[in-house]
Amino acid sequence: MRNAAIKQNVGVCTPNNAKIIKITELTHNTKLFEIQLEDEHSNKHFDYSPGQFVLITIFGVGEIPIGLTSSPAKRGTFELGIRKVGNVTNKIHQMKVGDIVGIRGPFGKGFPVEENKHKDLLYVCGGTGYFPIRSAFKDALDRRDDYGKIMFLYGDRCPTDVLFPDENDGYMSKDDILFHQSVDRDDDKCWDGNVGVVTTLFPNIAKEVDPENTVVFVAGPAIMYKYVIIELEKLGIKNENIYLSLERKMKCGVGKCCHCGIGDKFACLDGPVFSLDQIRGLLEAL
Amino acid sequence: MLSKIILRQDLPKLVDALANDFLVIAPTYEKKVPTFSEVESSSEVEFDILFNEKLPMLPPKKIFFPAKQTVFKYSLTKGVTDSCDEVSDAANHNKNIVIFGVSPCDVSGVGVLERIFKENYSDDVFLQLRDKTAIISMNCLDHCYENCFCETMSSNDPKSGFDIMLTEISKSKLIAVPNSDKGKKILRDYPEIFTQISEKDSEAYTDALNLKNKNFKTEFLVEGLASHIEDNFESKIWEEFTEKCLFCGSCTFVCPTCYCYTVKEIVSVDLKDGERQREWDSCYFPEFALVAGDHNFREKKEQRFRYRYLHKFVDLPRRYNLEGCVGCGRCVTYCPANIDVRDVLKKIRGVM
Ligand SMILES: Cc1cc2nc3c(=O)[nH]c(=O)nc-3n(C[C@H](O)[C@H](O)[C@H](O)COP(=O)(O)OP(=O)(O)OC[C@H]3O[C@@H](n4cnc5c(N)ncnc54)[C@H](O)[C@@H]3O)c2cc1C
Ligand code: SF4
Ligand code: SF4
Ligand code: FES
Repeated sequence: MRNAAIKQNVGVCTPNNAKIIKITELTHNTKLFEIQLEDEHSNKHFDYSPGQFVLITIFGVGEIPIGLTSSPAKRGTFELGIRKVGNVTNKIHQMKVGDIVGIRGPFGKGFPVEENKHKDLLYVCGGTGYFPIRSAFKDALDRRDDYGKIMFLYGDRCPTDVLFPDENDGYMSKDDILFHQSVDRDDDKCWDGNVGVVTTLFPNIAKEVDPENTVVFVAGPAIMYKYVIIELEKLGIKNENIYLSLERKMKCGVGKCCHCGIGDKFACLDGPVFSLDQIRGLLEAL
Repeated sequence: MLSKIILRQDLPKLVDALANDFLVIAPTYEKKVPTFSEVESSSEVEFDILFNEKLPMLPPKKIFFPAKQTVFKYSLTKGVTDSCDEVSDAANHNKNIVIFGVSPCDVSGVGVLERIFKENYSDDVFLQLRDKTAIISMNCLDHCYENCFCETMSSNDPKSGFDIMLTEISKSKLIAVPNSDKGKKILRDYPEIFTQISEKDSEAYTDALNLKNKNFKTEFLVEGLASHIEDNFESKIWEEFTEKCLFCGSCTFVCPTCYCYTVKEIVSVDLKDGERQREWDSCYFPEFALVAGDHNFREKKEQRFRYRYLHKFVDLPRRYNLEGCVGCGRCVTYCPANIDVRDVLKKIRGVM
């Protein structure tokens, strides 16, 4: 795990001013924001691990946790993918290139990417869970030789909700990645891929998985976890090799405000990524 | 000797002398409620609160971690304009602070918060105020009232976190024992108030501490409590207390070791500037773990009731190797539903 906290001359409670550099519309309710810290020095030292998050402030509106979705290798700017669901996220969606936001972080423990070099990697994600997984996935592709097989299963609600369709097409055409995607429903019959929840994709990789040598990174809505875990256990993957990103309310990001408590842990400090082994010992986790 | 003697009748003189050099916070009555307030002279201080060992309703946490405080200021279009260094309460007090008359359990309580606010990522807003402050503690030689269980929580003998400890060694005399550089300096700086200690005073001090040791009793076993609570996570006992609880949050606000907070944006009328305010929150409130899409991670009242115990008696001891409760009994005193934290714990332990 990289020691990622950026040196902040303003203290941990005050955000760093940052500029929106680029906005890409991903779906009708999701946008990708490319962001750069105003302070040159902080910007240069902004370093993170996949699975970590920042707290983004929309001045006058509020502050929310968002997972980093770019590869850590991308320096100078970083990306956040944000779905419109409420007060702050609605306001972010109205912002324009050049607007100023606040950034604190990066915070939390991300996916153990360094610890699992040379292993096979399996990513499973649904909905906005794609965002933190994308960072880990791109990180692995940036140093492809560090890992064995790379498998990716992605599910979303319907074809118009699918994130990064162009990137996904690119992955599917590569022969050193096993990329599979699915939509839960295809009412308009405009999807030529798999239809069904993300767990219906597992047969595609079942034969490829070596349970002793595979590490799994999972992110998505809470209800998805239960079913994904069943599939992973069927494949014989041990709990200690399964990592899930848990979502909780967050106000501070640094273990002070207590909003993110799970059992005797804090999602912001001890997580958001936990091993299934840890989660088994956590009360009220799943 | 670094320890000194102060006559009980000179305590007002001490407060007045300190008030020349420091911003002094001491026990007073506000609408008949014992309260720590800023005082300008000894006439405002209620010394009987000290000697009758009444606990101010709110512990000294309110000084370092006020119920509401500005964290930073900003322009809506340009971002942060004044960071916490510039707007914090610490920046606004140019004098250092002395809190006079803090009980040992409250010293322990401040210690718990200080540890939490310092560790992992240090919280400048809290620590700037803490660093500017000296604490003069008033020792307790016996349980101060029926709701006190400080001995059980090992909080009445803090090893650090205070700068001077005053202990009554006779009806008219107190010994002032310094516990830090700041404390030693205060004792040196007011020689007309602090006088040399005699051999007899030293003996009287030892007698007082022996008396203290004899008077304090533990009420129930704390060792093993954390795992006991985890093991009884599904117990019906939680439901029993949940039914009584009004979820008013009083117990969390008066607690010296409760520190959870939320933040709010306060925007000027012309919509140009704003500031972030943080204010006390309570895990007993339904919105505490509520996220977008109406998903509540602690949907049931019982989960909310239980979480306070889980956090105090499981998480804090494990994470920081300290007790998450100092046994001050405030939550018992101020609970409108007569819920006693000791009863909850005793029932969980199966001793009630
Ligand atoms: C570690 C982490 C990573 C996340 N990564 C992403 C991401 O990459 N993309 C994305 O679109 N969303 C992500 N989220 C969810 C995102 O934080 C919420 O959608 C957002 O907080 C909703 O804020 P709102 O003001 O629009 O909603 P409202 O419903 O108006 O929320 C009010 C307040 O409640 C809190 N809150 C509400 N929902 C959540 C939530 N799910 N998690 C934490 N706090 C919440 C916030 O403080 C918010 O200001 C992540 C959450 C966490 C905890
Ligand atoms: S839980 Fe109750 S007794 Fe314990 S420190 Fe808090 S207010 Fe005091
Ligand atoms: S003070 Fe009593 S009634 Fe109010 S939330 Fe605490 S336990 Fe419940
Ligand atoms: S977000 Fe405040 S403690 Fe985790």
